[in-house]
Amino acid sequence: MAEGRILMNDNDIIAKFWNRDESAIGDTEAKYGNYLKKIAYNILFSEGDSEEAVNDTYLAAWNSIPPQKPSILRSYLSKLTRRISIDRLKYHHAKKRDDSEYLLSLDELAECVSDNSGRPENELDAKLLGEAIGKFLCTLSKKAKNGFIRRYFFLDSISDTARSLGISESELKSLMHRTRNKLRNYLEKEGFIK
Amino acid sequence: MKSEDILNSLNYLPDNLIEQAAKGRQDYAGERTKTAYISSFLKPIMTAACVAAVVGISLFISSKNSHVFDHAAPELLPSDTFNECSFSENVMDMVNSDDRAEEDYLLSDEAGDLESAGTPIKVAVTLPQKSIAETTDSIEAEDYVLAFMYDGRTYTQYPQKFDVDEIYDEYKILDEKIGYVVSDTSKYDLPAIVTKLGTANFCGYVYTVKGFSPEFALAAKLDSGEFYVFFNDNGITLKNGGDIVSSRLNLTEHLDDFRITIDALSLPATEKNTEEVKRLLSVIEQSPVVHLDKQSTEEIDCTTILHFHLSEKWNIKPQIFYERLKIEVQLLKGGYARVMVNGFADVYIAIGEEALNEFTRNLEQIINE
Repeated sequence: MAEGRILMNDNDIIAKFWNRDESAIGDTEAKYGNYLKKIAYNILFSEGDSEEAVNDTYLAAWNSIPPQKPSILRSYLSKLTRRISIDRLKYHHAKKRDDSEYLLSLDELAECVSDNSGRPENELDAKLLGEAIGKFLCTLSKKAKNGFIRRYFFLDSISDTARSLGISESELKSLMHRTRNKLRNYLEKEGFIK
Repeated sequence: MKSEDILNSLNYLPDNLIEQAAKGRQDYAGERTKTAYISSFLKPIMTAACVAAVVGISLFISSKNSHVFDHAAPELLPSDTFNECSFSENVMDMVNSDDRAEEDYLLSDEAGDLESAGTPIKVAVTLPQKSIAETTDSIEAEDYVLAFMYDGRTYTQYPQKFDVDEIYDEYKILDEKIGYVVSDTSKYDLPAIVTKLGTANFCGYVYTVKGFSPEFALAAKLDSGEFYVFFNDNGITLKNGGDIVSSRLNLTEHLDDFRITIDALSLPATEKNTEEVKRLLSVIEQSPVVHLDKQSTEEIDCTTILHFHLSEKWNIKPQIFYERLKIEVQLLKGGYARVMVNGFADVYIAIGEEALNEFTRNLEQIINE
């Protein structure tokens, strides 16, 4: 974080983006740099790659705001970082970093899916699936919901997620196992998987 | 569909869901990487330093509080719900929170004001012993009973979660932040019911609760962002118990609704009986809190206590809301009112038989009209 910089509120930062004031990037870095780096690091498991992904996030934010006007800047940036980091991981897939939380999460979520069902063909399908999962998460307890999002959106490690929820790792694994089963049933019921 | 599709689709989750989950998350990139860089030989040294700090703080607190516990009458000792060893071990899981990097926007004061825990008890009220089993209905299957030790006492979670923002905006029951707790339930001798339900460890800031002795109730904001009130649920001490029902709460003004049940007859609030109930509440507010110590509770066995309760005939449950705290008042034979705040605070008020009889007499008259 830039030393001595006063953290601006999100509306002011967004206003700077809209006014094409380049200091918006510095303000974003000061406020959310570490936060975004953690998300990138969970996926890429590399300091250097994470920094690059976060820098790409600032650029993506610069290019997308305007026309975008995020209601929650932190979540907006999180999504950008996550998407950029996953793309970067896929690009470097030849190296296959098995310790990436992204890859570990893929294995865990395998029990929610079926090879017999089709894949989302475009962004709209992916959006519908995301929205359906959002509705499903709203039916869960706060602990299960936050645990799922921390593990599979932020891609926090099992130990970090368990610690932040105040439960043991084995309890988290058990909770996530139950949640994934529920999700599978839900997705079957909603017709996403057969 | 592949699991990759699910992971990718999460980018379309609503922002508010992501934001809620982000609260309390360890979102400092440095934390993980720093941890990874800590050489293994440093860990024992750090552990030893932490232990030394904990022991030091424990001794400090013990010396500060020794006069408080000297004043605490024998009846303050825990009864058989909890193992007495846990009370006397004087184990404290607190560590200094100054090192915490977490942005704690809710808190304005510095962490670790340990001296506040030693505030002398001015009014000691003995609370009736409660069974944890009676209050676990709301615990969801995947939730666990939380517990931690503070100053040698085991505090178990009251099975109702509070949203932290709600607490700050509306309940305002937190008093002082007294430190940071790292729970390790493997060290505690918890009641069978807690063990059966499952326990979990957690980390979080600990606070005193307004109107309660830290010997009785503490609150903890977990690192996960959840907030719980914890009780040393041994039928023990309540600091300034009168605070709960004194003019500070102003029960009369906050009376929202009530129903009166007499035998099979259920009466809603009317203009006339509301006046009577308000008059009764006014008496309650002005009457002294009674110290039902161990000696007096021993004189009455459980069946007598149940018989004491007027609910066999009279069931008066005023719904009083004070800053969203639900307050119930029950009337007891012998001229006592039992005031409960959100079901977790029990205070007995000696309103006198005369006031009680006058109330029931007037109410009967209203009903007969």
